[in-house]
Amino acid sequence: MDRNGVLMYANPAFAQISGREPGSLPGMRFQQFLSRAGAIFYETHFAPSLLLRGRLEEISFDVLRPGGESVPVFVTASLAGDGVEQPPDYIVMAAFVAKQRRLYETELLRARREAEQIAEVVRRSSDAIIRLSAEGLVETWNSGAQQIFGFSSAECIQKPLVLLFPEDVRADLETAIRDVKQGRDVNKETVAQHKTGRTVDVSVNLTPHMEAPGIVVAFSAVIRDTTRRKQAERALLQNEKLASVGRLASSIAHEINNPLASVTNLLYILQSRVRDEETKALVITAQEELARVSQIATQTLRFHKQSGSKSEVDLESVTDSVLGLYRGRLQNSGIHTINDSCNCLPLLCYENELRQVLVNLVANAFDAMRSGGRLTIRCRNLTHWPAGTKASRITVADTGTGMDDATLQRLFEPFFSTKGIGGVGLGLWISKELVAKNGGSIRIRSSRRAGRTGTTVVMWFPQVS
Amino acid sequence: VTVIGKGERALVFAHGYGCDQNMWRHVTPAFLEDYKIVLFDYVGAGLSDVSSFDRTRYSTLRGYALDILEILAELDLKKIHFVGHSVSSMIGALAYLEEPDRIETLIMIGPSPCYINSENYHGGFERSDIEGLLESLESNHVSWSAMMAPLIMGKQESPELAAELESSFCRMDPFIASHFARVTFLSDNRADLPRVTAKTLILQCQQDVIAGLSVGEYVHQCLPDSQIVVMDATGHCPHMSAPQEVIREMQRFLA
Repeated sequence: MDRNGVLMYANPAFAQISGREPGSLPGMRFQQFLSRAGAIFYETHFAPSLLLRGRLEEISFDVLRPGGESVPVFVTASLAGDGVEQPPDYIVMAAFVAKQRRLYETELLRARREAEQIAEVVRRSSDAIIRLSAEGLVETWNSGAQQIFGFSSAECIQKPLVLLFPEDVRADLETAIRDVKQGRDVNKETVAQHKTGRTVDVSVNLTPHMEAPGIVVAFSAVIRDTTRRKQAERALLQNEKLASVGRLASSIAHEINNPLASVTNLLYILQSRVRDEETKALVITAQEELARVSQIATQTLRFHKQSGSKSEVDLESVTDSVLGLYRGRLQNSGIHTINDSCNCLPLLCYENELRQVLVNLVANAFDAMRSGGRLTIRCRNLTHWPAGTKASRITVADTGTGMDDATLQRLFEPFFSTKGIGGVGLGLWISKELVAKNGGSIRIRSSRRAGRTGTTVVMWFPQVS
Repeated sequence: VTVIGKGERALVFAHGYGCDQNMWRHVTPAFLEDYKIVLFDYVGAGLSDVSSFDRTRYSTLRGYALDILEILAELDLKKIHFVGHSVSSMIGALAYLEEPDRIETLIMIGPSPCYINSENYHGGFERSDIEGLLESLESNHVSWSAMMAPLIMGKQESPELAAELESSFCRMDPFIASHFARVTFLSDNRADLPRVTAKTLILQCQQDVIAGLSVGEYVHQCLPDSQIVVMDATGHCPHMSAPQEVIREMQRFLA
């Protein structure tokens, strides 16, 4: 070709490749054998590069034959004459048919794209997908791994996997890795350690990569953050507990109510038959006490059943009457009581239930202050921020022993009690349900700091106008 | 960026798509005595710093135009003569529209404001041709990384790499090459042409498959102050295949 790419001579082999008569080739431009895409590549890459470098090797082109068929070729070209410093006298070009090589390259490119797509899936996965050397050193690190462990790829590559776990589970993990090296898959539920030090519930799946004859060359770990799932499981367990408590409660209530009804009837008959005034008074007292038992059975164990209807409750009188129930016991224990509840808006709620909640809270306060202290009940009207709605706040505070964090965490769990044999562990659980049923919320703070021990329970109830 | 030459006025050469500043080597010697000559590589081309590539900034030709203006500002150059090959003709025009004070005249070698055919306009290509080009790029870039890595790592001082440097001419990072190909061949800057009022020379080759004669005529008609010279040279790179003719026309225009 001359320097402009016009063919000066072509051998019969090129005539055969291009599907043209040998005589028709001189005078044609090389681009005329190419598709338009090929021509752009020729003009923008091939020609300038050739003129600059003097020689190009194994550049792939598709030669178009007149029938539309295209023949993949590799082209090697070099400039003749003092080409690089001055425009060349002419260009020598050799074209090799490269069907097999092109198929191979196409396959290679296809495989590379496929591998890149899979690599992309791994890179972006929220699960940690890690490749490990046979020695257990981290070789690859994805974004899921970064999320779960908080470490960047650079911080982990070539580090032992076990270092990413808290010390107390490392031995366990090392056993698992030994199993993987024996060629077994291992699935574990364990905890990992985030860079910040907090632990993360995880499931770990280890898969060995084997090569004949049964040699482990590497293995992979897929680690999933199971914190959410664990939380859901715990919540499910809690629900299950509640449901069984509900079933238990209604069956107990049912069992107790039948004999209660019968005893109530018997006492009624007895009352009409007793003539002696003194005995009659005893029977009446028995009837009253029995009525209370019956009420407690319904209230405590069948709390979910509505008791009558809501009414406007005066907070000062209800708190006064609850304190009145305990007055004797409080005074005997040297507990000073303060009720600061005047000028409160009446609260629309189920009075019995509010009373029961207050009884529970006062009883707890009393239990916490066996060696004296101060019990404060305070009721306030407040405007709930940011909604601007009105609410009533009832605070029950004691200066008792206080509770630690572990206890605080489990306060509202059914059957959780710190009162040993004397406690059933249902008081606060029921209180919370009752408060919620009346549209309110309850929060408990507690301190064990010397000189400032005590517990404060705050309840909010929205004022519905 | 390379600055050579003795003159007061600056002659800035911008290489076209697929090559680098080395493509001007036959043209620049003729201007060394009278001009300060500025040569540079676009991001991703030649030995430019690939790490400064930003997909968004360079998603239009304007990003490349801003790079040129940055070079001119850095060198404190005004009223320059801008020589752009192929896509750089349009990049130069866009730079002129951004800061007209910087550029006095434009010399466009094989310009095309739009490569894709549309109604009433024959750019020469269909979208599918550009897809085909991207495939060609891919199959010819297999050996790129292995060859370029040591150069990019900045080990040019070792002597045995000089020969490799030679063979690196017109190599481009494969990812950026595909990106630049899309930007180059899918851009449409026809609407910008009438606003480019700088004195412009259009150098048009015979039988240029990239930017044909009709495209050159179109550019000439749209630019308010332009002259077109249809040269004897053929192909798309006359400054490489027929440098003397290009030098002669440039000197006539700049005189």
